[in-house]
Amino acid sequence: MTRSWPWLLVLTALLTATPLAAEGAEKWQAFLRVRTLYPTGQLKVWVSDEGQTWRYVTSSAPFMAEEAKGKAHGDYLFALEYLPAYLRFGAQGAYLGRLSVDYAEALVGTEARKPLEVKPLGPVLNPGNLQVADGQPAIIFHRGQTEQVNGFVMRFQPTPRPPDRAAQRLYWGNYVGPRDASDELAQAIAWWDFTIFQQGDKLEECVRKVKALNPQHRVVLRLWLPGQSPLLYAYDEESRRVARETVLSQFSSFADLVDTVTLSEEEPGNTLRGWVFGELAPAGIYLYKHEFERETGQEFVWKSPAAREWLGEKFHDMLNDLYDVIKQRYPQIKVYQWVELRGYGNVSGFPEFVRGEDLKMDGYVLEWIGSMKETLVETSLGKAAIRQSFFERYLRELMTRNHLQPEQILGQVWPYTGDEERFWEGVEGIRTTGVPYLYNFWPWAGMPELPETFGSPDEKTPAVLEIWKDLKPYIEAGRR
Amino acid sequence: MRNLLTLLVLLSLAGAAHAADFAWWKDELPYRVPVVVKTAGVEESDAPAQVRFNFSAFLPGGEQLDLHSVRVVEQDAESGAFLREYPALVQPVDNYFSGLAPLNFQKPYDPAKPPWIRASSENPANPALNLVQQSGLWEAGTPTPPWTLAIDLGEAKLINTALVLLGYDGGGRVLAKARLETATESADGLTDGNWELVGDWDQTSMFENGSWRPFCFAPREARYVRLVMEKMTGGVQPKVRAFQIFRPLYDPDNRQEARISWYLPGTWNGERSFFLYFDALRGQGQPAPPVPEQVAILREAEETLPVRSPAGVGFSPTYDKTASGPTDPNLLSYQYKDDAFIVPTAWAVTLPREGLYTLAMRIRGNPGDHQIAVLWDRKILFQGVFGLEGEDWNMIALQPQTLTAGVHTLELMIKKGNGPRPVDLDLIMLTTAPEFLPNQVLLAYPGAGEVRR
Repeated sequence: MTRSWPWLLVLTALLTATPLAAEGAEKWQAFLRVRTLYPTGQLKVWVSDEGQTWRYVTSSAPFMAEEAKGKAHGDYLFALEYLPAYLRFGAQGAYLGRLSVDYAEALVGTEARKPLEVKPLGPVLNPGNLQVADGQPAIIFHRGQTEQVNGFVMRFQPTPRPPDRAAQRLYWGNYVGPRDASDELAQAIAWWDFTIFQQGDKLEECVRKVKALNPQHRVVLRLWLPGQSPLLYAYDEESRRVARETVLSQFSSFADLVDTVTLSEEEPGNTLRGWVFGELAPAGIYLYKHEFERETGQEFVWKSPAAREWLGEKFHDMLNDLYDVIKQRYPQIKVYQWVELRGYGNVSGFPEFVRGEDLKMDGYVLEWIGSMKETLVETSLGKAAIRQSFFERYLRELMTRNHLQPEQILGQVWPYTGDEERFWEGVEGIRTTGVPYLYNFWPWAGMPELPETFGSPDEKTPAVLEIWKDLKPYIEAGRR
Repeated sequence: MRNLLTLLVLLSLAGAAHAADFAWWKDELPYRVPVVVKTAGVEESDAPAQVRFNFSAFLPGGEQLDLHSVRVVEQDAESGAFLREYPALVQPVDNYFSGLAPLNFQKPYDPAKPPWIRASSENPANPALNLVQQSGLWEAGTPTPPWTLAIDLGEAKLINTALVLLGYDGGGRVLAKARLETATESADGLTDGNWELVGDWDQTSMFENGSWRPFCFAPREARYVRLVMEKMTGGVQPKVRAFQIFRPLYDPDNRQEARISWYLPGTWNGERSFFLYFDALRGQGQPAPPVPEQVAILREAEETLPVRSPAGVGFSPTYDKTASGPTDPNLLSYQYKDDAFIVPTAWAVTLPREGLYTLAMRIRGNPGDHQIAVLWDRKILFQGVFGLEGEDWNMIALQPQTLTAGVHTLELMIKKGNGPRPVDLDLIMLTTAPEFLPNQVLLAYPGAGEVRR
């Protein structure tokens, strides 16, 4: 296996990870406090229960970001859910330089806990200076070694470890546009636990073949909506009827094979981008300005906040109505919404116009969940660094507010970036929220190792195949 | 642990006192230059030293240096007595000589005289001719690769450097694959001929667009030099703003300048006295001495190739008494209001043999993290972050990497980091020293050369 360390990192994390509970000071039972002589974003922290397998916790990077904005250099505090038997800190990875560490201590609650043992790792000058806060540092050297940690290991009498609440079984899916219904493609798709299918002329034939090969395969359809139709949908009955039939016709002939349909992936953006980027009100909107003025009592002004809100409201109503229409005809089929949490920054529809999390739905399809983020949280001892997935806090709030379970969410990972470390961080980030469904985004994907099902190679293909080398056995191991 | 001592010495009138009173080491080496090596108040051990010396400015007219005759000898600073000879690495300088213009410039352009330039295609609005009159703009005339630009110098000449400036096209559209070749013969000056590869790049990176791409190679005779561009990202055709060819600075007939480096074993603090002894070339000259077990190749920051981007966000040469190197200026400094730009530097580096080399840099600036990329022959050797501590110079080093012998192109791309301080680069060094832990670089003082009477 090449570039095995991210895989091992994740494997370690999966064996030992503890999902973050709700935010709050009570969650952080222990801390590591480190005083460096100079600001650095490169001081990294790991924990281990037995001193062999290490789980990366976080780094001083969030502190450095604040210091770069003018905050005075102070102690670096790292929040831990419990005090493990082993704490490791130092430099690792693509970093060149030294870290002058004046002292380091662990705390349980607010009480300092004396280490049973302290050992330097790698080249460290004056390691004995570590435990005395006197301005005389132990100096850690690092020269960019990817896997080597240079720093210290401290051994402690540990505190009890919280239970692991992360998803135990993962279900893996793909995102596929079935351009054909060949046996090879069906075979490749059927290998997965579920698939998000785009529309296409061969969709039904492909789905039937896949289900014949793997009856357990979960079929999720991404439905498309007539473009720029929310106002027509709201105010023209015949248009509304056509739109409803357009949606239903995309799967009605094989509805018995469909588990889930989704309504809103790029549709809000496709509609609203075309509308709102012009300097003049499009005719399709101007036609209904009297409806705006009747409903709001205001004069219609193109691009005014009120007009934008009105457009979003109509889109919101359309999506909710289509939810009802589908559920009325096919109550067993789940209807999911795509919630673009970050927004594309270019009027994707979410959240500029439509508050996706308020839509009627049976679940979410998440995009862009991938990366982990190191950040500072308030704790009983002050600001401390932690690391969590970008959407973790948002997702937990979302599930609570909408009464959703982790099983009602499809989380996305992004092997197409070719960044193996980031990919596995995405897996870890989703899994630790308890979400068991993960799907890969890679264009045309059937099976990476079968080029005839996987679409045309491009410059990212070699990196994607490197990820696949580790991902495939990982998925198969999970199934066993 | 080994600390680092580095020194750079050029011939200067300022120098060691009483060197002329020191005993002559060997009569058969009639020339010598004193070199005083000083620590900077910090104990050093097993440290490399380096001297750059223009021998042709010293030798009597008509005499040429015998490179293989150069010896490094330590003599007692008080008595002048011989103490020890050190295995030394003697390398002709691998810099190029720019003169007033690259070899391929011709202004005003005379179509009857070389140099000429040819292209596989060109946009009539941006013809290849622009590149031999000045740094203009050539744009390919067809979207189909490969696209070739070839310079014809009119006759075979000794060259060792080519600089290419790609046109910035925005949108991440960059030249993803290209190669530089030379030939002594070619019927059409473009496709036919005895072309030989001297450098390439085959990866897409943020470092290629809008910055000079240097190709440093061992001096070779060539009449034709061509850049074959094989792939652009984004489905566009390439643009080149400059394609410049240079001859070597080291020229046996005109300028024999070399670098001499050696290791000083042991731990010490203070001042020591060395001499370079050498002779002019006589007959076949002396046999080549063996390459020392440990070598260190140093480049002063101010020796950088002019690889700053056209936006002008490059280092500025400046002077600081704490920086190494006797020249004025003796470091590169870069200051901009924020951390927006990547600041490029580049050097030719000649490695005497394949081995594990550590790259170290002496640098100072805003405390904290700075982005850095190290490119070796236009491929990324390291990309990540370096950290600076305190106000003074920091020495940072990469883990040892296996590098091959020969002339290479080393590029650093760094960022200023957050804060008001400029980032200053003093020197870079490649060394085979094991367990290399950088600490501090020391200053050195040259003396006046002597001839044995």
